[in-house]
Amino acid sequence: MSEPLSSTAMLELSSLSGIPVDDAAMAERIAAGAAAAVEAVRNVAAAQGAFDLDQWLFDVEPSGYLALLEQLAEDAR
Amino acid sequence: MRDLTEAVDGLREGRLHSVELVREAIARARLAQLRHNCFVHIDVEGATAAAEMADALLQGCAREGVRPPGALLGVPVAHKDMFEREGRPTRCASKVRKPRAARRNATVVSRLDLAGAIDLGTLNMAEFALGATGHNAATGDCRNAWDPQFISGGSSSGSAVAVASGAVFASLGSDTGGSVRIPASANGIVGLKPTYGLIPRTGSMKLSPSIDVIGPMARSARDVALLLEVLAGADGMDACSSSRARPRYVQEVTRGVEGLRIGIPRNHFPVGVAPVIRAAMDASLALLERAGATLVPLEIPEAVASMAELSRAVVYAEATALHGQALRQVGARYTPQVRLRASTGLGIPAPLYLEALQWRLPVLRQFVEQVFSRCDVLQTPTIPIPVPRRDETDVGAGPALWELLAQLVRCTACPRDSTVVACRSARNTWRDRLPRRCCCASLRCSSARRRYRCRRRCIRARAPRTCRGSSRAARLRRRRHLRPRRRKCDVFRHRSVH
Repeated sequence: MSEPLSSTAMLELSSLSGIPVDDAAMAERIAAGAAAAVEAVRNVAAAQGAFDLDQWLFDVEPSGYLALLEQLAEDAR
Repeated sequence: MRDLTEAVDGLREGRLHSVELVREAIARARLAQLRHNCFVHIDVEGATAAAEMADALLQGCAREGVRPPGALLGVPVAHKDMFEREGRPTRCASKVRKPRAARRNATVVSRLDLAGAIDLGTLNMAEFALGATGHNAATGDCRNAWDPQFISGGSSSGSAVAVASGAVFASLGSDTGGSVRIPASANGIVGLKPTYGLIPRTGSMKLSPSIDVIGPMARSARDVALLLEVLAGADGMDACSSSRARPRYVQEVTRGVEGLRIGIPRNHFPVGVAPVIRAAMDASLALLERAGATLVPLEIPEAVASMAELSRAVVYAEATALHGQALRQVGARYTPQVRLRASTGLGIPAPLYLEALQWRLPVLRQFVEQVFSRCDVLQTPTIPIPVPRRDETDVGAGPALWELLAQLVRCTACPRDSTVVACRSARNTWRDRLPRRCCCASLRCSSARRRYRCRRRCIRARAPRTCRGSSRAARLRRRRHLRPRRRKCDVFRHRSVH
């Protein structure tokens, strides 16, 4: 498990974005929630380590979720 | 208690009258509001007027000998407080937005109107759909339809409770990480998270546009199929709705499960499932197998374990982006818990959010190819633990709260799936009819009494300690504990498990 951002770092991010965070306790809880999500992205990346850069650059279209769902449905027919 | 299909048939055949149904619905809605706080607004005048028109239309059609228009003509329904209705404020169960009358109808609301459904009002929900328990400090907690001590589940809390308590025949909810499936399971009704893009979201509140879907909720799988036929299909305004041809869901849902391959995950989903849930799942599998389905034990790809958190990265980042300006300007109007959840995206770097969006494509493809090449649907629990009490999941409940909340959403946070009551059935994309076929089949096979006994076991597992044991006093206390649910046992006529 990666370390969550420190409350100080969260408060700095809050100040940078202008989205208020009341205190260190709130900052800590936000950091803990976000850390789990960030960790998951890293875990997936680690599990799919062999993914080819070419595929990222030429094949994967992040906004193509709906198209992929439709294509998978076609493939299944 | 009738279900939606029975009400529609009764109205068409002249056995029922819409005015009577609506009058009954209003009485039940008022009672449900007192006990469970599931409504935000009950439109008595509007619903009564619409029912009178529906009756006139039905009588006219009967005189002329023509089929009445609209698949839902004359039946009362309601929807979560996040779908626009012209002239009515949409508050999203929050005090953040100024109540302002909407200037248009959400596509789903228009489609229900066109089908002749009668809008009884708007339903309570988690503030901005950010919450899985049904707690809401702004509008008051929505309480479980079977026992107000227990959570209703969320975020479509009022939608599930209004259906389970008999106030309406069906309702609309929305699902991002379990918001239709969790309350449907907690209240013993059928809820469906359809494939992304199947139902257009124009005029409905966004939480995480990359994941949000609108889902129908009702008392039987057949009802949900009927609603899906009315709601599905592109509207030309939601860029993320699909124009792909739709099957005839109602026809498909009654086909039975003979030859259907049901995947039984050996890893990830079974971990930490409470024995009482496991037993209910096993019982439903036995019924499905007896009905002709083939059970296929299989391993789920490792990536699925991270899919829940992956989707959480997307939800948090998008929710913070949507609420950012309001948090800056009127942050104090949010309830503390929801403000915290809406701010969590602050800690997710933009490149990681985009990476999560990218990763879900190959992960999804891998999941579908590995799992659905071997089976047609997957059986998993919706909530792997017995429904928690409200005080156990309240903010002040202590450190155990976080573990409980994590358990509550553990099985629903994966990207694409749908729910059949307590047993969730995930299926391949656009095969939204398959889980309901399983549900319909298991309903046909199991007697109402067996399902009721099953429910009693689940409630007993949650009963206070003083109710347990075989002494006369314990039996009497247990009887008192079960009494409100016993009166409502017919609600569970259409449940497959629990």
